[in-house]
Amino acid sequence: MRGQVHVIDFVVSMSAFMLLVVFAYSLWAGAAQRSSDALDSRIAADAANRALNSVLFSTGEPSHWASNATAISGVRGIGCASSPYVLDRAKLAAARSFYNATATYNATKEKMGVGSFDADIRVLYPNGTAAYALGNPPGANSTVLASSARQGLLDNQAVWVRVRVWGPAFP
Amino acid sequence: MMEKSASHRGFGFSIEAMLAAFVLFAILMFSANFNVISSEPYGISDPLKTSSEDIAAIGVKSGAWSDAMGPFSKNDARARELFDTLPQGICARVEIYHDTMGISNLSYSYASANCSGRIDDRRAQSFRPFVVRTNSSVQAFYIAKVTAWPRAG
Repeated sequence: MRGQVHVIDFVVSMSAFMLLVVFAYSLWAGAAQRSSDALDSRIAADAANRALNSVLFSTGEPSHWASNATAISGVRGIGCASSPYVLDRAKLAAARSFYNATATYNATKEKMGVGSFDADIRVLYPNGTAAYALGNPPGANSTVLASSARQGLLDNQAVWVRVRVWGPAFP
Repeated sequence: MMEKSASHRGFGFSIEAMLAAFVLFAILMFSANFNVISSEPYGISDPLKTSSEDIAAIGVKSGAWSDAMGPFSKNDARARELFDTLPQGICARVEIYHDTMGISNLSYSYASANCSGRIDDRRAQSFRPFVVRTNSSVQAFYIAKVTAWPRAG
């Protein structure tokens, strides 16, 4: 009788414990997935901000990189501004030719801070037409993870610079 | 009596194990969430602050504020053009203060269309000083103050 009580006791407690473990694991898996998604979005937002900063606030490295930009290897950092907020047409055109060429696409986005994500960069007039388009828009199967936009000046006219970043390329 | 205490001991152990598992689970959950919360992306993420910063800076850079020597109202068109580029849902107002011997007097103000009413409690402000020169001599010091707030409705 005493042995039977122990066995029932053990089975009941073990079952309860296992149920609790399964429940806890499912909760944990959900929380881990949510955390991972949030972290991915933040990494993507960082990439979008870096690209936006390089276009809008950086002159590039060296600062005259666009004047003799025949090869991407000679450019340490790509920036499209002549001074913060003021966009430089020559730099935008050079960045566009590097960015839109398959051979130099990866190196260019690395030098703009996009990393291993894919991104498109647009300089837009207030009416929505693009003054400069760098990169293709995201495909139908891509999910945009982050998007950043700020105002700048192109030929002394207010324009928007917009960067969209999509996956699934995490470092 | 012996049976009862043995039974309680067995069950008690399971409850302790369950409690320990729960505590461990809670700690792991908290640390995972904490890592995500603490990794804020750098850069300005507040659209109100971004808009006020951008408008103030671009106004100075483009000459929308400083061109207007004398009556600033001459530059309403430039200010309007600048404010027209604001994102939907954001209102902004610029105030230009003329700084004389440390005393600032309001010289000019302009608010985006349909936004001249009350300024929301949630607002961001940015300040940009600039000078207006004539014949390469400093003529006057000014401060641009831009306030951005959410558009009502």
